[in-house]
Amino acid sequence: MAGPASTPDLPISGSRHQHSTGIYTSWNGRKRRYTPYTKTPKSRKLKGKHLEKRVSSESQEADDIPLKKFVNKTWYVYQVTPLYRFKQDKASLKRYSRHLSSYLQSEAQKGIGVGGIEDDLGARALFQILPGLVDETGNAEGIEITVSQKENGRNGNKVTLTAILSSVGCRELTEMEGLPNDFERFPVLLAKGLVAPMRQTIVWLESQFDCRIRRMSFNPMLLSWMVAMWTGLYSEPMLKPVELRYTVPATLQGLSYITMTIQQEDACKLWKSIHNGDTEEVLNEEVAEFLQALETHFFHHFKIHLSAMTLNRIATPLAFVGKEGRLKILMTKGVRTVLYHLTELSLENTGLTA
Amino acid sequence: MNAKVLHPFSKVPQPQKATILVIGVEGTQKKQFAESLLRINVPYLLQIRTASYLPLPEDKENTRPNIDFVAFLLDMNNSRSLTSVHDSLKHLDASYFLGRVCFIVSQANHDTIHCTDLTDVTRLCDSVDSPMLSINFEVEEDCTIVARQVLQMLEIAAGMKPGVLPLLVQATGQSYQYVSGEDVDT
Repeated sequence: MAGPASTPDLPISGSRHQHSTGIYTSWNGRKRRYTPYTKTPKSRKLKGKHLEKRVSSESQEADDIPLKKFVNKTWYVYQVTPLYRFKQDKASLKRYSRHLSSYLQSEAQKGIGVGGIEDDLGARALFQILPGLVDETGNAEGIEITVSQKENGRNGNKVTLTAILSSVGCRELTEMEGLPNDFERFPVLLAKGLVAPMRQTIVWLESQFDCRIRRMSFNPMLLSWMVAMWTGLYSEPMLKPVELRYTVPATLQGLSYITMTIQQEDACKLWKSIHNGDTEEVLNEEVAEFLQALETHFFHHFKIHLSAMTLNRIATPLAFVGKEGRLKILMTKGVRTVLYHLTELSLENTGLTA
Repeated sequence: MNAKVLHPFSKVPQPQKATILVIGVEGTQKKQFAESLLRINVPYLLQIRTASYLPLPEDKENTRPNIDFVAFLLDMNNSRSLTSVHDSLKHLDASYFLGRVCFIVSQANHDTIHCTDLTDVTRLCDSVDSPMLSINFEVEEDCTIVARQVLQMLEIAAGMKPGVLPLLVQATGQSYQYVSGEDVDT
């Protein structure tokens, strides 16, 4: 607490003496922590406000059809910082499509693309608005980018990359923060396809819209949040079981993973007994208790401390999520919930929510 | 005196001899840490004892020397290490927390395998007013640096530094509250 005795007593240092020296004061009144470590929020909302409005509308069925695109595919999840001058009207989307197509073709001609030269010629990109995801003000919440190539010797086009930029729930989560005018937020990018077009598309997006796109990885804390939140959501019978996969420490040879599978109804019952059903908020303590209950149960039967191992992959009836940022959604009606949570995580990671 | 609670002055300390107790569950690399402690040349007799948790077994009570300093090893990847330390703290006499305890956290830099927040660890350190050190077992120099810091604290606890008591060091320590403007955590 004592600074060097020789410095003069400036008003700034005077006020600092009242706090302990571990405090970093913020600039511009922004709610940001200048620490390298982010803190898990004490609670998260299960569904956004806009999701609750949606459930009551009759057009639920019609909305689900385009959302089928998300289901049963393994996506890689990326987080995206705000995009500069990204317009959603048709003319701009056409312009972006042409731009990206010519970029991909020029990359192919440079010989950078993986796979023979014949494969990459004629690569075409297409930007489309996903009809299923539209938020309250009518702005599209999902933009789909498809990259396809002409097959050698065949007539059809082969899709080599599907990517979806999504911002479900973004408006609600970032109510406090305003953005300078020309920026648009699409915090989550789901991509599936070949490595080369994926990498090139990401590089193009970064240079075109001045954003940064990074792979999202889910550490065991985040995975345990997802397991806890999504287990209790749907309680119909005959759903897939809840699964937790742990990696065994490297010192043990011959064993790489331990998977714990629980029936959906049992896991749901456990969650309901822990979670306070009145509120939509899921608390940090409830998540910790849920995981602890499962781990002590496992220890009781098998004498293996799962809490000493790293949680690697989780499976709920709603989705499979892996630590490296791989995601597979299994139910159409849960797509929005998953996207909302991913948006929340992406915004936390880029420091835009408190 | 209750044998279940470890007390720093239950036995007669020996001159030119210092004993450190390293506590950590299986999986936190106690042995590697002990080896890096031994690599440093010191002019006194250094004894390192390791344990997985407190209370220490009673049958070895008579042959055990006086414990001058306790270091808790935590692994950010291993949530059991943190819960075990929480439980072990109850078996440590309060006079240890006046500068004879420190927490060493490993794998704090690998964000992708954290199973708990670092703020939980800092909150634990703040609740007992003890210092926290971060170690990276993959880099040997880092082990040596942390070992040297721990040995400094051990020497003060063993009374080898004239005029310096562990209480003085602990009283001038800082808290780990990272606070920004509006966001004050207690």
